[in-house]
Amino acid sequence: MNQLNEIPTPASGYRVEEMDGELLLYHPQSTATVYMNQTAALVWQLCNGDRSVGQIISILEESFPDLDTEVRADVLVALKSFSQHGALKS
Amino acid sequence: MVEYCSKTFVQLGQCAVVIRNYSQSLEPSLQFLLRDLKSEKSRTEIEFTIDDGKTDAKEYVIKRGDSFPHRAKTAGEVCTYLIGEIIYHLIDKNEKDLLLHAACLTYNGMGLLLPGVSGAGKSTITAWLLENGFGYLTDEIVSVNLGTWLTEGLARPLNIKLLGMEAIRNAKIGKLENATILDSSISHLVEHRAFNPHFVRETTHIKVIVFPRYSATKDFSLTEISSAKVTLLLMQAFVNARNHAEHGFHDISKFARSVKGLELTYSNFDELAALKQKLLEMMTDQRFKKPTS
Repeated sequence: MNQLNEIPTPASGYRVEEMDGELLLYHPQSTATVYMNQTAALVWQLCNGDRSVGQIISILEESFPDLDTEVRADVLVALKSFSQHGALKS
Repeated sequence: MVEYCSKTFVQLGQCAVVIRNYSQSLEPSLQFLLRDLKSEKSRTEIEFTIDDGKTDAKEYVIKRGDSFPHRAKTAGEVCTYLIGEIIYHLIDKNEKDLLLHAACLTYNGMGLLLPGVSGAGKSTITAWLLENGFGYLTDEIVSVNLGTWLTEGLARPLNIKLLGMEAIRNAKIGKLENATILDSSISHLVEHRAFNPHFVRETTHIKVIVFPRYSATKDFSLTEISSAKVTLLLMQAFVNARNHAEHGFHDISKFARSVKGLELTYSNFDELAALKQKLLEMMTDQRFKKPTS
């Protein structure tokens, strides 16, 4: 998930538990649990199946102008992690 | 001829097993193992029998129902095998309670949970905390009632691995010289009263969860962790998850929200003084925060 025009789409079947800004995704069939820190949780919440990777980065850069140099890398790391855990449709 | 037979029930949460022992020579060791686990008769599905072997070789034979028998040569081997089997069967059919692979202690009536895989140091830290004024519930498995959130533990003797035992002896923790200890090839079953003679069988509400990790090469660290991280780590210690709807994920997260969590990395007992200090600070608030959705 490195192309900015790709559209990350959440895989179906995950249960989501929000806890103090962090997220846990749990898949009852695979029993996989995915922990997301606050940054990853923000990225996840922006993955709605319509937005591209580039749009997600833009939204977060606008929201956190002081961190704009880190946002791009953080988003890509988070998306890679979601993908590795099977939380995104391939 | 009058045959010897003793019968002991062991219960944790909703499940119980019964152990029938036909070996008189084994009885003292079995009483040592089961002393603080005994329960009144209750609904029992699993029965273990122990007998002296019929061959000339001195051995004990342990059977579960009609299963293939397990043979052991020493009382220590019998007890180590038996407690593993008892725990497995107490977990296997339990679909009401949250069963967690964790040590559990109390301080001022409040509960401290130490979940962790084998080798994380649960029993060794438990020994140290017992000597430092904490009360004993278990070093291996707890049952959390989903209605009351009360936690009970399987109060077996401490099962201390060979290296842990060496560390405990070197640090002169506990009164081991007069303690009952059963040896097996991989561990020692040690009387928990050797570390704290004041034992009361009790249930508790968990206040703090510490996830320990022993590492001889890493620096000491003790870090507060979020509820989400506590949930993630508790799911790894949740041994009857498969018996719950959606693997009990929502119940575990509810439980995690009601406690405080710490991650501990340690390499020696001297470092545990900082853990005790932190625990005392966290466990002074007497209020129980009931889990809510």
